[in-house]
Amino acid sequence: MSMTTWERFKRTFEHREADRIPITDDPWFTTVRRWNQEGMPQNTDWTEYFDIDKVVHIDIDISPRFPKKIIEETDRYIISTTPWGVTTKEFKNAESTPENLDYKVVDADAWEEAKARMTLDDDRIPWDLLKNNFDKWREKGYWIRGNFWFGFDVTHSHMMGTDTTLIAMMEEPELVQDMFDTYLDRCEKLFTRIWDAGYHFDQMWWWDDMGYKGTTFFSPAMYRNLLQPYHTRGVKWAHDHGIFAELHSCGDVMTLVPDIVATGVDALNPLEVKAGMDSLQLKKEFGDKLVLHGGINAQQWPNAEAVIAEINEKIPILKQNGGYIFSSDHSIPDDVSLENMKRIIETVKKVGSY
Amino acid sequence: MILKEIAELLESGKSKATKELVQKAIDEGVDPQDILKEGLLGGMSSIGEKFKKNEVFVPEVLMAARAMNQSIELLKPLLAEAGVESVGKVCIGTVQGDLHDIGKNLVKMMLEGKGFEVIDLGTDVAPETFVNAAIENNCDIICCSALLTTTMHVMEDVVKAAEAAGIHDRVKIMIGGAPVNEEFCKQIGADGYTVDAASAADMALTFVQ
Repeated sequence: MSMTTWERFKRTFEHREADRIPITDDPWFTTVRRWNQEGMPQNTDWTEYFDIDKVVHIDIDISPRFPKKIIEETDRYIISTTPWGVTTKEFKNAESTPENLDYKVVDADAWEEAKARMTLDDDRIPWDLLKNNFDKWREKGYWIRGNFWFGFDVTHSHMMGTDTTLIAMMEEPELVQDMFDTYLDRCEKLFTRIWDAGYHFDQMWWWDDMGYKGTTFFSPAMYRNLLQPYHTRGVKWAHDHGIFAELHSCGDVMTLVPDIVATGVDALNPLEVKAGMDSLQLKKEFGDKLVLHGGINAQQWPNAEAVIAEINEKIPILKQNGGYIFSSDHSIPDDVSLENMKRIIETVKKVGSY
Repeated sequence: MILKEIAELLESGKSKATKELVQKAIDEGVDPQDILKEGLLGGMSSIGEKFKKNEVFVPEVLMAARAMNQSIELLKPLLAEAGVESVGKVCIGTVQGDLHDIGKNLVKMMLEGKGFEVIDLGTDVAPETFVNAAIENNCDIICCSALLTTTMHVMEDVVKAAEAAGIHDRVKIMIGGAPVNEEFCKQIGADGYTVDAASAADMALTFVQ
């Protein structure tokens, strides 16, 4: 009899073997649309269609709640302002990271205004979602994830801009640390409220892309001095509540992994292959203490033979002693056909079984 | 000595001090070309080498670029008066369908640090826009950036557009970005690919020398 998602994830995080490795991923909305066009029924949960694992999320809102405004809209794109005070351009019918055109928070004074607006109102928690679904998620054996929102990436991408944030990390570290501290403080307080209401989820997750192709945005020393204390604190919140903590960090963060492991984090995702991440090396060095999640090159997925070869090469090693969750090394692009996805999942279920 | 000091201040990212020293050098009658080449570009070149070796990271590069951009404003009218031209002209952009710009911006900084004039076309740039900009500005190089596997194919369209316009024989096409590699560069007929921004600027220089 096969395990539930919850049973599978629990064993994996405990570095024990389950019936098979957990299988999760994140297809683009245009990918799901392509799969619908190729035969996956409309309005189908793709995880049910492929009979893979189901992870559900609890998201909170810690933003300054600046007014949202549409500035320009065409058939192709929309330019609008976000609750974080950023003017962004996004495509309407294609997947891409938004382009940030302008920022409200550009200095310490503007930050103080934003900070004052990052209140702890109860409506920042999705109480209706929890009330209507939490018990059903538990009954169905889903794995429930609480999404924290703090760190370098969310600060530069969603509030202050890359150049301003990175220069501030050199010239005004106390400003940046106040931002990291405030974000994390709001997450801790709101998720504590969720927890105290009886919604005991299974893991905490946060996004903090610190790398790009071949290297990191900043030095390991800067990570240790400015950011690691907040990562450690976030992990502590999770562990104090008896749950696991996972960091998502895109790019090549190989040089940061020893310091990331030192925070006590339980898992690392997505292990971006094209950027330079080596999941097999990480398994060798840290496999007993770090759950590896991802590491299968999404660039290869349009080519079934190539990705199946990679799965056959890597999964037998990565799955040893538990501690591996299957996914692409970020998300599933829309050049992956439904047929390819079926073959990939079929192969993973076979190779990933214990 | 003053030029070496300018280079060192620029490398350390001290914009105000760099600008003040550049002004002092101008006031003392130092040749503006020397201030540019040995002072500002000398400092950027040093930062570029350290960036390649991971001895410095993006914050240091941004601060050095900031120092250069602020100081070069003092030199521009003097260089123009003396008829000094850039080492070459590049138009750069992220390809159509892609809105990522961090990598492109780093390459732009490194190119300017080598003395190139860079026309930044922004993001979501159509192939014909690259080609038209190269023609209008008499560019030596087109630089294309892409972050997505689903947009990198547009780089091939840029190559084809350049060929159709009859400019590929004199305008080199360089490509870069997370999903891109040397094999892809050769496959589409582009002229150059490098793994990082500083190396891209080095390669660009070889194309104009």
